[in-house]
Order: sequence, then C-alpha cells, then structure tokens
Amino acid sequence: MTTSLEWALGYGYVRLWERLHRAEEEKLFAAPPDELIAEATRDTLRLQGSNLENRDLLLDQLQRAASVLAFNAGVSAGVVPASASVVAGLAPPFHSGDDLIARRLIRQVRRAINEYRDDRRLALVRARNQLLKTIILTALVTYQLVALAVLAGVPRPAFTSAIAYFLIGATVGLFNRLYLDASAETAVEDYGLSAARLLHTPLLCGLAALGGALIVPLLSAQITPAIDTGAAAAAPPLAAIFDITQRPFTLVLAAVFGLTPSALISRLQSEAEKYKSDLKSSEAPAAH
Amino acid sequence: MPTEPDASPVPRPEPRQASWRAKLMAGLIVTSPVGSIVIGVVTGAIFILGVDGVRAVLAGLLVGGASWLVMGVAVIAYLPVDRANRSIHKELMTRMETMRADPMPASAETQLQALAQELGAALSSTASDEERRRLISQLQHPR
Repeated sequence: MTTSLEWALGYGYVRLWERLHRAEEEKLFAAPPDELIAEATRDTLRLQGSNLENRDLLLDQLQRAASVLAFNAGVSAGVVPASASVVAGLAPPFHSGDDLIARRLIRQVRRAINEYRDDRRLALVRARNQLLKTIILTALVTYQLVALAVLAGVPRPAFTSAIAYFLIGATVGLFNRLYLDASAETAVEDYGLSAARLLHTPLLCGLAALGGALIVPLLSAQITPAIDTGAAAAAPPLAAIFDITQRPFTLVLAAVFGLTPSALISRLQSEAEKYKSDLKSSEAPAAH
Repeated sequence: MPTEPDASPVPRPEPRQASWRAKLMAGLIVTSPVGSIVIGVVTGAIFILGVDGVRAVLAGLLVGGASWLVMGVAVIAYLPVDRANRSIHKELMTRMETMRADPMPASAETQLQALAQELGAALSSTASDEERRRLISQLQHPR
C-alpha cells in the first residue's frame, strides 16, 4: 500500500498510533519508580471504567506490580494496596529482581490497554472504508439506472418526476439523520465514519423512495380487484406512475419509503457508537 | 534487560515520499464516493437539458469524470493527503511532543523519530547525553 493511499484510507493513522504506543511502552518500562507508580495508578483508573474483557485480571496485576515498586521505593501514597492473595515471585520481602518483573507487568498492562484502543480505531477505519465501498457501488448502480432510462428514451417529465421522488426520499432520510445524530457521541474521533454515513444516507433513502414510488402503485393495482370484471386491475403504465401531476400522492409514498432505511442506518450508527464508547471508556482520566 | 537503552547513535529512518501518481490515485479514491454520484447526476442533468440517448450518457461520463478528476486534483493540491485528518494529526503531534520532552531509552527514541518523520515534524534530540547516561545508570543499578 503506498503512503498516500494509506492516509487516504485511514490505516496510516492507526499504524502511527501503534508506533506511538510501542514507544510509550518502552519509555514506561525505563521510567523512574515514582513516575512508574503514578502511571500504574493512572492505568488503574483507565481500566476501572473500561470494557476490556480481562479487566479484573489486569487490575490485579497492576496493583501487585505497583505495590512491589512502592515497597522498594519506600513509598505508599497513591498506591492501591494489593489484595490478600499472593502471586508467586511477588511476595514481600521484595528484591531487585521483583522490581524488574513489576516493570514488565506494568508494561504488559499498558500494552493490553493500548492494543484494545488500537483495535477499536482499526474497527472504525474498516467500518468507514466498507461503507465507502458500499456508497461507490450503490452510486454506480444508480448511474446505470439513469443511463438505462436515458438510453431507453423515457419521457422527460417522467424522468424529472423520478428525480423528484429520489430527492424527497433523500431529504426525508437526511431529516431523520438529524434525529439520530442528536443522540450520537461526537467527542471521540471516528476517522470519517460519520461523514461516510452522511453521504450514504441520501443515496440509500433516495433509492428506497424511488422503489416505493414504483412498487406500491404496481402492487395495489394487482391486489385491488376491479369493480366491473372481478379480475385484477391492469397495472398503470410507468409513464403514469412517474407523473407527479397525475399522481401527487406518490410524493407522500416517496417520503414514507425514504424513512425505511432508517433501521439499517441506526444499526450502522449503533455499531460505530459501540467502538467509540469503548475508546472513550479506556481514555486516560486526565490529559497528558 | 531486553529494552535497556544504549548510548549508540540511533539510525534515523528515511522519509517516504509518495509519487504524484500515488497522490493522484489517493485523491481519486478519497473523492470516489462523491465522484461516482456526480457522474449519475451530470448524466441526468444533461438528459433533462435536451441531449438524448448515447450522446447524453457519453457526455455525462465525460463531464462527470472530468469533475471527479478535478476534485481529486483539488484534494491533493489544497488538502494535504499526507495529513488527511487534521484533528488526529494534531493529537498525535501533541502526544509525541509530550513524550519527547523527557529522556527515554534508545528503542523508544527510534520509534518516536520514525513517527516524527511520518508526521512531518522537525526532528530534535529527545534527551541530552547526560540524561541518557543517568537513565542507563538507573536501569543498570535499580534500587
């Protein structure tokens, strides 16, 4: 993958975060005891609010390592005391070798937190790129529909009506997005996922509106029996369906069908919100 | 100690420069969702304006494709693709500058220098020799 493409797709930033985290872990390992104890306490706070699966195990590990460092440094303030059970090799009285083990444990915990956060970032980037691919394919298929209509020489009023239905669906879909966005978490960077969703909404809702405006009149003609013959009524011609002047109620149909993809859109949004919530929950309690 | 720092000079990675083709490709990919929509919109607009059949489709492809190309070029000309997201770039820079203020082992410094180059930040020594020696001594003789 070339550098530019890596940035364009968003993977470059995830790679840089990983690199920064590896440097941070190396620096932490070599930090003075007082700094290490403070960082361990900070990680304890991060873990306590996070959704990490093995959170309790990591917390226990961190508390023991901090206790060893505090014991060897002769300090106790700000250090969370270890629980009653004793891990092999980390029982008082502590030796200089225990100090090294404690450092490694603290680094391991930091790495677990960092990897968890990097995974969530990668998931956001992947979701965004997947959505962008869907947008491109949907737009190309829509273009083929337009080209087919143009090549078939559809009447211009019908073509204009179809565009009107599409636009109404897109407008209703975007209006619905206003409601969904009101409950969204905006404090966490989502690597362009919300922007991709914004682009996806009018396309999807517009197509749904167009489909609804076409299908409902065709189906209703088949389902509703004709009064005089008892047989199914003949389907209206496409030119009549796509004529706003003859069937203004189709505009309402388009608006209703413009709302139908909202379930899909809100599912995409809730998935992204989960990743963002995971990132937010494992954030450092204070800026550093 | 596996990550113990040493006093040897840290090799600095070479900066990676993207060619104009790679940049243009990146610009086209960034704008492809909008570009693919624009082609359809332009084709429809040309048809409504009075051009029929194949001519309308071809004109839509040409004009829409050209618009897409202009958008791609504009992206690489006016928006730095290497800094595609300013807020993330700023966050990474802040974190890196904070880390560089303190002495650190050579392995961390190597990582940070590579990071600085990729972010386009000016490189400077992260720690003085005295600080580094103190850190090495501290790690070799822990209390």
